[in-house]
Amino acid sequence: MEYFVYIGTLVAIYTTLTISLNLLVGYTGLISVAQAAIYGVGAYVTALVALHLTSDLLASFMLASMSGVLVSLVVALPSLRLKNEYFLIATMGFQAIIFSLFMNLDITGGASGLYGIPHPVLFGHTIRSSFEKFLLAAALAVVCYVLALRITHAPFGRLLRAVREDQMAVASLGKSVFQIKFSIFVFSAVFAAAAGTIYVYSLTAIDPVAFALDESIFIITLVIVGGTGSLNGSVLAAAALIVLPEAFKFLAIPEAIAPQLRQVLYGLLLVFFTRYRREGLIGEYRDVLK
Amino acid sequence: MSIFAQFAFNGIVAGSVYALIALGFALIFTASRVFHFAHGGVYTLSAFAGYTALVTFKLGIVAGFVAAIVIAALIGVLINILLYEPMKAGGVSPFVAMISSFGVLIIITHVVAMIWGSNPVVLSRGGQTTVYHFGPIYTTDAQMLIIGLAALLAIALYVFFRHMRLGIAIRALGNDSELAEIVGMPAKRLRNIAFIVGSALVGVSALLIGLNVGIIDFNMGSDIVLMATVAMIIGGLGNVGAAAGGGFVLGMIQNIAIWKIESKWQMALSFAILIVVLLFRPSGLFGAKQAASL
Repeated sequence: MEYFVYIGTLVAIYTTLTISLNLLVGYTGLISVAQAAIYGVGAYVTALVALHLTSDLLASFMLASMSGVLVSLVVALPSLRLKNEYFLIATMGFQAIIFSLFMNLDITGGASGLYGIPHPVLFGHTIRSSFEKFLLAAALAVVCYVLALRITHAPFGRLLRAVREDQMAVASLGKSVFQIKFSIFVFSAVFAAAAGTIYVYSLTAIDPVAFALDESIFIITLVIVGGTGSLNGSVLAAAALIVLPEAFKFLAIPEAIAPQLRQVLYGLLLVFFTRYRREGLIGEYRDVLK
Repeated sequence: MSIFAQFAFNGIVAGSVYALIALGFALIFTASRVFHFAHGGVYTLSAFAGYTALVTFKLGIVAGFVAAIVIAALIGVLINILLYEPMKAGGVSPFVAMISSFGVLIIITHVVAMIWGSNPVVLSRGGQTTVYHFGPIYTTDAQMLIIGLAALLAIALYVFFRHMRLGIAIRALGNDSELAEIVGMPAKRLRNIAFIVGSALVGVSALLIGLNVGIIDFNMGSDIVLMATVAMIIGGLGNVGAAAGGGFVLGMIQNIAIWKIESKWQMALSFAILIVVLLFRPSGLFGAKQAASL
């Protein structure tokens, strides 16, 4: 039972991450590979605050979100000046720099990370059981989904798509393309950072490897497999790609190669979908990746 | 001062390593406009191919290099034929091919881990390593070979791109592939040649670097291809010579910085330089003059 709750929590965390990144990749056409770093900043801020100050859940969310905004300023302000490939490479640079901070600073515990993080407290109630933590993760995913749905159906959502399709046209209407891109980047970062809070409290430990470039590429894979510009697709992909490799456990695959096989599977899916099915499982347009 | 001389020399070695990798990476970029991240996978795989010939089957150093080069060239050109060319033919931009390329990098990396295991293995050609020393500087024969090869290849590629029809044709292709095809250039074949040559280069480099460091592991290609990307951008995009120059500068900076900054910050420092260059000098350090001609 515990096992299924754990898988459910992972699915909820990745749903949040995938939806938040899809707003950038699918709706706005900004392919960022810094999502795992932002997720990590939220996680480290939560862990450090919980260890040294308070494990109040609301305070953790607040601080993680604020750190998300802060990282957005650092990452997005310079990167958003660049186009396509160069935007991607700049975000890759930030991903590498931030990961290097996780790995090498004393306060983040270096390569061994941080552990023994206290359970979160919500309105005086200490959340201990993994089922309650799953509910928290699911609640965040639902909030993220609903807000993303509202944003993408609001006039602002049309602006995002317009930026994706034709920046010049948007600019010619007197709208600031930069402002639009920056707003959605911050929104996305806040949710990625909040997912970090959930991650830390679910595991009560933190490991820098969970926030490496590979992780960012994995989240992009989820967005592409689900379908760029499809929120339901993001949910579906997060669920399918987390649950599917768990099936290896029930097949007679040796422990030693199971994690490798999992990565190979993800790589194959990324190649397959970018090559043969760029609209993903449930995509809006084929043309987002063109 | 003597310690500084050693750092500077290490910088020359590291710079030559990055220059070698960046050369192949940039050659492929010039011809296809794809950021070929899977190049890092080809690097890893060819190092292990060389390891298998050299250490497992004890076939000798020449066989080791042959194995590395053949595997690298074969896998490199297959990635182009099976993935990039069909995408290009389908009207998909090189940008999407770049994302695909991440997938190929992940596949190759983890297949290598499945075959050879995820622990580092010792790569040695047997016998003693000869250590030379010139004044305050210590070096090995593998390092001398790396520097020599980098210099030789840089000159060879300069001649190739400036004075030989094939090289000029590949440059033309990178400049405007449609136009190149209109005037009757065999664009596909030229791109395949670029992938073969670029990958063969990374095959040689992988084994040399592996011999120099003494150990190889399945993950080593990811970092090296990121450094090749940084090298190509700080050198100047779409210009093979500039990329090699960028690699050399990057290696020098990383190693001279060790004088003042701990080595664990090398990666972060390199990417910080990348971001500064992207923002303030997108044409790269050596790219400005050639921007018009390339």
